[in-house]
Amino acid sequence: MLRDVLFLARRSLAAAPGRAAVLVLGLAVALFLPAFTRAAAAVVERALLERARSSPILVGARGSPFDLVMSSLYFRGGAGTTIRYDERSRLAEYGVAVPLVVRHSAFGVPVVGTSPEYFEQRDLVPAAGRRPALLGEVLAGSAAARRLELEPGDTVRSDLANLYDLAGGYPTLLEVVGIAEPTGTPDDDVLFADVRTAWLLDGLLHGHQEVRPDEALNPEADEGENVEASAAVFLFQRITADNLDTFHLHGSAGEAPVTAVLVFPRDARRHDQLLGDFALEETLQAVRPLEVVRSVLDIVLRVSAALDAYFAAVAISTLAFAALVVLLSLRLRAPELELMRRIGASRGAAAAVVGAELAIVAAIAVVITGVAVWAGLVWVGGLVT
Amino acid sequence: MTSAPDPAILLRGVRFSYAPSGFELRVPELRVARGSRCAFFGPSGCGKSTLLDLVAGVRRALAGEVVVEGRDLGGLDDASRRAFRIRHVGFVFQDFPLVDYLDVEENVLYPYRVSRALSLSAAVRERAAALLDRLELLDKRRSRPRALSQGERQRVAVARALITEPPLLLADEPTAGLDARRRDDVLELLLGLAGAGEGARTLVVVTHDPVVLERLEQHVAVEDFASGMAASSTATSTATSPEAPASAS
Repeated sequence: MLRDVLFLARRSLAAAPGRAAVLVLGLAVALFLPAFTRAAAAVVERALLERARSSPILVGARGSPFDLVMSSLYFRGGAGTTIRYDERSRLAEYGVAVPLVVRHSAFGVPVVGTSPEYFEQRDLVPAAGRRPALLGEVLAGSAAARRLELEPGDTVRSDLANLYDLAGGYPTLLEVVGIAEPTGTPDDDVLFADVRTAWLLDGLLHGHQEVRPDEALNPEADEGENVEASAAVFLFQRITADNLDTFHLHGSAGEAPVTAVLVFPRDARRHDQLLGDFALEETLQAVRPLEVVRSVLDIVLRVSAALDAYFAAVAISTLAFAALVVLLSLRLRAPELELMRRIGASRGAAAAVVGAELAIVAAIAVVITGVAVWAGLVWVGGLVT
Repeated sequence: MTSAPDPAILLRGVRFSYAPSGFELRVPELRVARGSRCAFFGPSGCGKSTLLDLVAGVRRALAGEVVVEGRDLGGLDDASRRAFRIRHVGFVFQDFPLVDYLDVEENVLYPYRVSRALSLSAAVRERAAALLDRLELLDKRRSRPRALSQGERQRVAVARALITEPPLLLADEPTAGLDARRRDDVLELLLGLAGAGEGARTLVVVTHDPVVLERLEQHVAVEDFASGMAASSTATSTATSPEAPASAS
């Protein structure tokens, strides 16, 4: 009987494809909107929280905690202000302190200056090649490597940070020494370098040809006095074995800037101690990314709840429309239903045929919705990571 | 002395009414012999179709005995009556309604699609093909109803009524609204398919067409059973055939 009912329902739907398509699409839209919103919100929430959970404490310049978290964890935007590199030494008393310089890019892909501890804490291992060890070397995240079509041994030129800052860094050729395993996190989308390489891109660390006294700005300099190089001195834009020794940092490394220090406290006591110690700092802030992300998600969930009401209204109007189509369809089929009754069809047969049609429509709509939600989530997943 | 064989249809002391309108049918006794061709006739609104529905078990009598093909329909519940109807009664309706979204063959097989009491098998499909062949519709088995002529639609509807091989064929005003030629075609079709002699189907036709009456040997004047009809419905009356009086009280 079920086979016969499905047969009639299929034939009836096939005979009116326009009506069936309208019902399927209407139902699919009504299902998709709330389903996708909820699922996408869940994906975003999960991804953001996972990243935040794996990043216990961030220390950066006082300002917006949200900007600091977005810059340091998700490499979005840039921390406007910096802190001194030697804060890292102070923070090392609490646990593993990892410097981060997030303000450079190469072909639009962030170049993140950090230390080897970052790779250990994030379980970031090369799928090919090795980690950066020398100045000018980078490890490409898997998605970044795919996007820029990079392989170990390739070079990538950094973007010009500021066209009008003649004293700033010049675009430099960075050597790709490794491609990281995919992690499904924002780490896949960036190039990792040593923090000194980030300073190189800042222009604080550079290498240039030897400055001869006759080309110096102070040619009368006494023996042992520093000569001042003029703009005519050639700055190396690629680090090679021949010129590596010429690269040097002006000033002390402790004063060099980092955008944040990511701290992995040794234990809960030090975790709380760090937060307490930095609570009264005037120029620094220590934030728990998890709290920041949760406060953002609270807003997202509130917006999501408002959207639910909107989608409920859309769903009700769509279902009312579908009910109208079904009722009109039933009126059109009244002669058939009467025929069924008179020839002796069971009382439930008419309801079963109509119900089977609706079930088929609903099943197709659910499948379409499922595929659309899945595709949407793949897209959202890409955005999140 | 031999006893009379069981009739195909026996109604005794039957009462039925539409409560709000006051219309009532009272049938003291009605016998339709097996294999006979019977007409329920009378003016519009006299209860011909209602009587047909009582015989088919579509409606249930308020009182009395309705025995069809040896089964007392009054003793059957709704589901059993439906199962009995779809197995033993072939219905031909006035407008020969077909299901638009099914082709000719599937229209013929339609009773098997909508009832649990029947099971669609290869033998049934062969029977459908044979019926369509006999009705010269085999080459149109994959056509949709809208592609058929009026005569072809009528034949499909008759084939659907016969696919279950029912011993009783009921036709509700099958010639109403048809011109003389089409009326004759339909009549010939029904009479031909009902068969004659031993093993013939019992055919009951609701009609008020004198030409149709002439071709059927037993006439039942339904208005004799009716009361509470609208005034306009009682204006005409036709006597039962003297050759085969059908009702006795």
